[in-house]
Amino acid sequence: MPRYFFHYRDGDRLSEDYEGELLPGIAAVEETAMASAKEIIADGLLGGNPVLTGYSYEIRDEARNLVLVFPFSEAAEKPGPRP
Amino acid sequence: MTRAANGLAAKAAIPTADSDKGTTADARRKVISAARPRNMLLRGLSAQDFALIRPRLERSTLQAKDVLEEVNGPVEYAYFPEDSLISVIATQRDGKAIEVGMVGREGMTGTAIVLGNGEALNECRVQLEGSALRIPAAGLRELLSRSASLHAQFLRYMQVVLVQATQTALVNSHLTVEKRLARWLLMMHDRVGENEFDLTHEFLAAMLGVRRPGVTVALHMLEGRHLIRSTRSHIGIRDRAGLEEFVASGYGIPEEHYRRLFPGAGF
Repeated sequence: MPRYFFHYRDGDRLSEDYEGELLPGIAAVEETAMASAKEIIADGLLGGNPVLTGYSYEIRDEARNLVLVFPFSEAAEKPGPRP
Repeated sequence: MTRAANGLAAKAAIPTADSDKGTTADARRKVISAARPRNMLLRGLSAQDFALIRPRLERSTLQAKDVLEEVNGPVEYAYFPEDSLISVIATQRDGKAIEVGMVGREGMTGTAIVLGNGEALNECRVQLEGSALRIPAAGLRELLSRSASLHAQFLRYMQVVLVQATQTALVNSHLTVEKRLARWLLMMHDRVGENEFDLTHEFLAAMLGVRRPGVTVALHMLEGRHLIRSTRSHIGIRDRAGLEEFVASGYGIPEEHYRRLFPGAGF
């Protein structure tokens, strides 16, 4: 299984995911991003924060090719797997 | 100094209390020194109780991810960490798991033995490699039946274990992931006395009960508040007081409880 790195973008700041995660393919990458973003948005709301929709995951493969940009706003608007 | 979790770094030889004192020839015999033990619970025993337990103790080197107790499995040894750290993990039937406690130099595993039962209540897994003293279950049972004061001391610690588990249940429903991570780092700092840890995000995700990419986000936020430094799998505490202030009432009850019950332990 390929390894995918979920870098987190907060405006100009990018927090790198050095560890990555083994996933079977792009569908699983998107599902993981969706579930994780839902979890973070829900957690933020419960913490009294506004919805964190300005953030995104930039997911790259081992060759550092950009595989997917997943804006957190998608997790706020679309249904997906339960985190 | 940094120690590795999850087998990330090379295993370093861990000095024993004996080799510290220069009697290196005896180190392999696993004779436990009569000097002040590094484990605070053992340190708090009366001289008579320590003399009772000392000949039964042996030093053991724990590697990250070693499983010391499996749920409902037999408990073979009770471990008293010296500089290792052990996670107590509750597991659901479908395999979902979350940490409900941690044991470092202030505590012991082997809850079931002390409570008079033979089977493990939760999983105990090594989080940070290091050394621990251990005693076989049968030996400990025998000593508990011989010394009421020894049993009382270990039962007092079980109160802390219980408070830790109940407080963890509370924070899991009341604190954000970011605050839970901050609390977790504080608790770890209390129990190993070091500022820096090598921890994988996969491991942290399992401890906090979140998806792994969320750990990057929580670390990013704590770093943005200048409370920690996070690089690759390395996390350093920058501002302990700031972390405490940030977690506020979510941190410290089990630790206060411990200090009340063991005022002389130096915890």
